[in-house]
Amino acid sequence: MKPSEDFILSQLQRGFVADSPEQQKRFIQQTVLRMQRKSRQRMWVLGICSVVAILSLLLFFPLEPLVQVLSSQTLVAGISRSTLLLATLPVVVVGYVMILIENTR
Amino acid sequence: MSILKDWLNRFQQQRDSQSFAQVVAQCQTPLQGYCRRLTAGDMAMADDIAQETLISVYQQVGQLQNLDAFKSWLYRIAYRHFLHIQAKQNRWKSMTEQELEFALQQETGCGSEQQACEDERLVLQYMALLTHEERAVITLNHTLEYSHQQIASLLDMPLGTVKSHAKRGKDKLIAFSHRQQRGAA
Repeated sequence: MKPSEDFILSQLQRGFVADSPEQQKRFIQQTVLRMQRKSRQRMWVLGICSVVAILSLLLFFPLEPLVQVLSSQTLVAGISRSTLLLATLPVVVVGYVMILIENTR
Repeated sequence: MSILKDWLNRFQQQRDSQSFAQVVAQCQTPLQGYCRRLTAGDMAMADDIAQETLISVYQQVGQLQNLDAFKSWLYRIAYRHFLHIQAKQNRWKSMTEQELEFALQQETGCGSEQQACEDERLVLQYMALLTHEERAVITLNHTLEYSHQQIASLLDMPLGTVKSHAKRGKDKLIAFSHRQQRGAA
């Protein structure tokens, strides 16, 4: 077939040709299965990364200020700003790491 | 679009497989068609790109504020996936007129397939003449009826670049059909 200029342009303006119903059904099934597999992988990776992040923070972060603040029964107003900052830092960093992991996936 | 919007709404709220399958069903033909044009008829890879695009939709649908912009967002993601695979695998380069002519001579035809399918196959083969930017611009403009301005924002290209891709792509297709006509005469 030797298509003319008009033919080509009219074909470009025509909508796409749909696959047969069986092919469409197969495509949907494959996509849903692939999505479910990806979600499971994602959950595993996120879970493992979170555990590693939390464990490393627990091991390497100075948690004593947090424990002291929680156990001292002092009002928040009575605690210095730097102590509060140090105490909340692990929580902030854990949150940040979780967001980073989630966004980079 | 309203059925798609209803399913998208439900999908955003429930994130369940059934509403996801319905969203896929609503947009699969244009998405597959677009990916097939981008890959110039590499059906298996086009379907792979379409599926990856839909998985990205599943993961990021919460970020979509305006459901009316869903399809533009879908084509933008598909184009990015296509570029990513193209860069990784170095595929789907444009052919010269001679290479395409040779490829068409080897072609045996669809046989019992419908005429529309034959015509679409021919368009996909013609896409091989174009660069990937030209394929995207021509398909979005002519088939999916996006304006040059919309395409510029969808593909993250300056408006002038979109216009020149559209013109160059169309010129190539017309020049090739003239060459084919001359050959037939």
